[in-house]
Amino acid sequence: MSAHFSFKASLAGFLLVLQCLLVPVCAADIVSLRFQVPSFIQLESESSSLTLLFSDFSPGAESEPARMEYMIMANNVTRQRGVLMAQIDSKDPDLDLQAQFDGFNNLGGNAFLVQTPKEFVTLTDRDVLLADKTPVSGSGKTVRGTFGILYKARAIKELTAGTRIKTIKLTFTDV
Amino acid sequence: MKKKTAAFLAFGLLAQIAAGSLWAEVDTKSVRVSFEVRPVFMVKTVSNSSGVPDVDFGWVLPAGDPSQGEILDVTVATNTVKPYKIYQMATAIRSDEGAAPPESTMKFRVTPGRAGGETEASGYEELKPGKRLIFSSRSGGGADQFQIHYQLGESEVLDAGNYYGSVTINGELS
Repeated sequence: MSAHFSFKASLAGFLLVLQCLLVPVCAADIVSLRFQVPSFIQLESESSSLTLLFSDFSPGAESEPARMEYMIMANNVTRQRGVLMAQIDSKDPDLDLQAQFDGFNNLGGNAFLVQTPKEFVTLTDRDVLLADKTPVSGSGKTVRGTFGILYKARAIKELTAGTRIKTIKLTFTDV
Repeated sequence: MKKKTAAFLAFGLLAQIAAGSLWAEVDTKSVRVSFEVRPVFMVKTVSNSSGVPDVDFGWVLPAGDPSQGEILDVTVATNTVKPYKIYQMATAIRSDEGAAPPESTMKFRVTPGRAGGETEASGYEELKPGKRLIFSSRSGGGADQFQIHYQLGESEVLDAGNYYGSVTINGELS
């Protein structure tokens, strides 16, 4: 019995050695893949200026509205409320400048911008809220698309003929 | 008994003296040596830019940039004459927050072998998790070299973060 077992063990050992000698060794290489994506915001406007035309100069008169198209791309938008805000450099004593968010066209992000106040809001020299963010899928932190802002002015006093210039600052915040 | 042993030693000594070997200054022994060369089949990979088995794109633009590519040099060393196939086993890419980028984020293609092996992925295609045949040797097998070109896809905006994945390059004899 012992001799039989010994023979089997020897045979197994011999076959193992033979296998090691005859079977090719293939060492597989594991390669790591890595990349880093920084936090990023890009806000662009289609134009650097717009004109609001008044056809009446009396108090309460409104200008024709003008629409400005913007492009936004951001990839780490954790903020929900008030991601888009606007202000003017200084208030005009004779008229109010008003703005309203006018639709978001998604171009591949997983969150949308949505209009917050449903009507025109008067801009001041402090930030006024125009739009919030709504996640729609995945992380809900990437916003990529175009949107419009409607601007109009409203006379507070009688307006003298001429040109007035103001600067509107639109701000997108992700945190 | 002791006398017998002493006599035996003395006889042996005399025999060596007679043969002349006891006083010789050179003695030689011959040993037969046999060599066993194991059949070897090895796949080695290194980054074309860094020289280590690591594909690191570094910082990338969030919206993708097709110019952002990395090349992996693959060398097959073998002394067998059998044909073989090379496979790529990919794991899913994840950010350190567990976010999965779109599948189209990373693409790859494989060049033909310098020694005549054939690519099985000549055009860019998505890097999907799982096993994929990427290269076949010429009919007689043999050593060869080829490259895998990795490229980040375009059009999608990626979440900010650090992204990791891996590929295993493995070969099988046919």
